[in-house]
Amino acid sequence: MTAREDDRDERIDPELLAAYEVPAPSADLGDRYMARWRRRGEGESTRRSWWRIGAAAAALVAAGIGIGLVVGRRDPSTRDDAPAAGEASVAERHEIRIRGGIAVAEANARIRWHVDDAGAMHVEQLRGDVFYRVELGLGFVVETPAGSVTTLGTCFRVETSASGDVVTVYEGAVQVANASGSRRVSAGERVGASITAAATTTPDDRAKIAQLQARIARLEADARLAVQPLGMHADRNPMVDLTPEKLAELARVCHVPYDVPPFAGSSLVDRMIEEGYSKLGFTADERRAVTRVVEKLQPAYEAELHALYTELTGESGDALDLLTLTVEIAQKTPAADLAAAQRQVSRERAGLATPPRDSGGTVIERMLRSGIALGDVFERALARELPAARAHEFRRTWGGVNLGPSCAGP
Amino acid sequence: LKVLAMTRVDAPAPAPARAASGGAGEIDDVTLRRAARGDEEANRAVFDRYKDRVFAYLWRMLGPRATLALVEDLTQDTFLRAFEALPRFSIDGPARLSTWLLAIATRIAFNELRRQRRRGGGATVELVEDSLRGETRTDQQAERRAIAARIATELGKLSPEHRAVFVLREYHDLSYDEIARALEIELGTVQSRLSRARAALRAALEDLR
Repeated sequence: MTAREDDRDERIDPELLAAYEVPAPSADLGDRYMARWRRRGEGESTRRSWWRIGAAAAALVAAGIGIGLVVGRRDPSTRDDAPAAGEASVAERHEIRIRGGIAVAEANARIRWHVDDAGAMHVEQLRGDVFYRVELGLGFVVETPAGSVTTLGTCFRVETSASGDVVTVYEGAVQVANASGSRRVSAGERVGASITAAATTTPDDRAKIAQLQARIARLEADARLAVQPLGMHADRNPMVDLTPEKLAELARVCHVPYDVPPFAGSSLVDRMIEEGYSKLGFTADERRAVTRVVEKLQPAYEAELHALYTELTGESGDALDLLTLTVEIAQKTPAADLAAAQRQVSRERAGLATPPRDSGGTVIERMLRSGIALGDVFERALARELPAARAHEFRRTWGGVNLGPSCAGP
Repeated sequence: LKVLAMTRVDAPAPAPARAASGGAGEIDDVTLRRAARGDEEANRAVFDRYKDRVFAYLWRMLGPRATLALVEDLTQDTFLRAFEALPRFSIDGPARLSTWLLAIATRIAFNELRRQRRRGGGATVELVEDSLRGETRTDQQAERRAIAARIATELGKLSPEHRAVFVLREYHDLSYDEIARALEIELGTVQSRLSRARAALRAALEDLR
């Protein structure tokens, strides 16, 4: 050590700095790393699939587990270290990580890609069927024998064949162009283009595309939920029976976790309901009571979330289930609005702030406000069908939404 | 919130009998050479030896935006990139493997922070299971947690370049030379960045001392 490095006098109190501890990484991190290392030569993405398929800011947490699906508003598959140039010809379905996005190439597809001097990604799709998910804000052009598809931040599929291309857009929009013309294709649309003809809408109906969108969203949500062992039904649901002290503590870090009744529509929730029944030894009559309450309350909550989703996105979201709607609303909310809503609602919940008289606020604020009331509403309704203690016991087996804290505290 | 319920993980690992580049806590040369030749077992041994240090460094570099999933992802990225370059790492050279790995982790952290900035920061979310478990926390724990949050926030206000110097020095005890090599900057720049970072932190945390 040189004299100038004898900086003990300048150092900040080590005991103070030691308070900033770091959590231990997951026990299986080494195994996951080795799996990625073994795949490294196969051209496969080095990301975990649940990260690849999308970003979400919401989490449905299985009751009592304390783990969840908590992911950032990000898509690490699009980080800068993805290959800037390359070529892939796949014999079977394969996911390829490229700068600015990912490409899922179906069997026999072939693509080549490179980043031009201006930083835009050019993909040459020489044959086959490829699904792309592209990060916003990046130039990204797919060129095919029949024309080009310039993305505007989106999720779309290009199918090439001898007779031309078919482009289906699931999210965002793309510009399809060739020598015969150009047109913008938005989410939910499907167009065909050939070497000699401009892009035109195909006879494909919107319902089919909506179903596909919903399926993708469901798969993504389920994949996120399957990330970690759920370990359901620990002794208690950590989102229930929060004391005033706990609520105040959560408010200090702008955190609004809330439990969600077992509304049907997601495979995870179905599983949770079954496990809850099983754990508590629910009789057939008790199960029917739960079903009655679900049937009574779910439509209204579903309608409310759909309305919020539409207000936020301008899209109907008709095909999306409750979990996906929750995830999507949180995901599509600007970060600042999300943080502000968490701050406001966590304070309201702790009795430190007053809710607006007109039930106003941003979409995310209203979703959270509605969310924190939901568990009580359901439990009260169930307590009219079952003994109150039994209803409460059942509530402890539910999952919930956990967006994590959004401020660092005082 | 989870942070303080966890154990600190970046304590130096026990020193092996024969350490690469002579550094305490470094892996032995034989294992390192095997890893450089692509030996899977050696690769795992290297990962296990250094993962906690790399993870801890990335966690603090990302600051309030750190989430377990993200930092684990970046930790893996660091090692994948390191193993691609390992055949070029000079085992007999002056750099310790740990310093070299932290240098790679720095570039990965910078990329990630740039990416987050480009996308408007986004909201990072993290699970807070421990805080929700319902156990009573002592005042001392609560205070310690508050201090940790303050430090994370204040570190997050530093530029990534200043933060890297500070974290490498204060939490990883790298020498000025090692920091300069890791970050590819002049020794004088290390000193000035460290000095500014310390001054900023000291002022921001004054009321906690």
